Amino acid sequence: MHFIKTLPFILITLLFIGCGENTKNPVTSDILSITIDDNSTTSGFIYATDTNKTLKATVHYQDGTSLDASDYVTWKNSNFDVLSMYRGEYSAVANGGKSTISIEYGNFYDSLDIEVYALKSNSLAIFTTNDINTTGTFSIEAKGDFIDIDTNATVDTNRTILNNILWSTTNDAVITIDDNNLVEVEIINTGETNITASVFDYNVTKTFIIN
Amino acid sequence: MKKIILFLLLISSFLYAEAKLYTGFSYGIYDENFIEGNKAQSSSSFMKIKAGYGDIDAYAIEFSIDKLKNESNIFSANDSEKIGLNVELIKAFDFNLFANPFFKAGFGAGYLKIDRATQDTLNYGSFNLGVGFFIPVNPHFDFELAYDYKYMTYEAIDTIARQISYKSNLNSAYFGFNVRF
Repeated sequence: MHFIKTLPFILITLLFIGCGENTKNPVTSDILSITIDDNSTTSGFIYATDTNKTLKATVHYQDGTSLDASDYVTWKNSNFDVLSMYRGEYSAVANGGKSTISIEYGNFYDSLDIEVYALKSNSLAIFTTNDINTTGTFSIEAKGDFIDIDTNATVDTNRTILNNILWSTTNDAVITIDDNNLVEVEIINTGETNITASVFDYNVTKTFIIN
Repeated sequence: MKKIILFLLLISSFLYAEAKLYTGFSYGIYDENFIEGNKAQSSSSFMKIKAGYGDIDAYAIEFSIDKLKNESNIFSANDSEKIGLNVELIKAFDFNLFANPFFKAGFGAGYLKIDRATQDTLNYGSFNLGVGFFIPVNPHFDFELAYDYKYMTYEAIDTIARQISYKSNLNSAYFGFNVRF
């Protein structure tokens, strides 16, 4: 009698459980590979005086999808004497050279060789957009030619120098550099003002005489 | 700390009353529905061996190892069976019927082997609840029929860019026997 009372419970349980199915394909696609992506037009090289470039790490899955994994992989730089690098953001610290940036996660790996194009000797020059013949504030910039050290071939000319540059002045002139690396000099006093740009081992000075 | 000691003394006093060591074997079927993470389902059979100490019509503490057969591939293309260890406290009743109803609560932990690029095992933990009947044949042998519920929490799946956590409800029914010494 009591067994009969428990029978519905047993049957309902078995019915409930018997309805089960099995998922046959993994619901989370497995990892296929990781890659370093450089979406810039200058992939594989950087000019010695350019501002930071940013690489991206991408994880690719077996179902064809991919996600940005830049914050999760381990970034490595083979030569910190040539490049500075943190989590894929890098810039040159030497006038020429090569380094390999790589990413790792478990058994997954990818790398990208980066060459630093060097500022050519005797090509550094200071330019102004207007003639400086009075006191006031003026835009200035330094430009130079760049070469591939391996082949000594010129790869760019009159390229504006945005990084690894030191400015100095005389005659109390003041240099300011904004967030976009635009440089202005404020000529305060009359007389001779020297403006010097130093890039790695190269220096160039331009003199302005204000009456 | 005092509460824990008092609780353990209380449990031990319950267990001491006509308590016996027992061991048993069960076989059943289960259905697991994943409720967090991507939706999935797994159903198959399982077996369980256990050892306990307690009374068939009062309290008992039970340790069990269960082995859940796997016919699904949820975490990888080649998921293995699950092996788990459970600890449960059982309260049974004697209503002078042919069967002693019981309920139980406890927790467990286990693992399964998976075949993913960055992981080859996946651990899980569970909170366990169950109801059922002991059907005594004689003082040393009884059958057991029960329903178990487990709330399962799995170690996260590593996809590099994301950590995906899975949780599931596992319902099972089993039939088994116990030998009491």
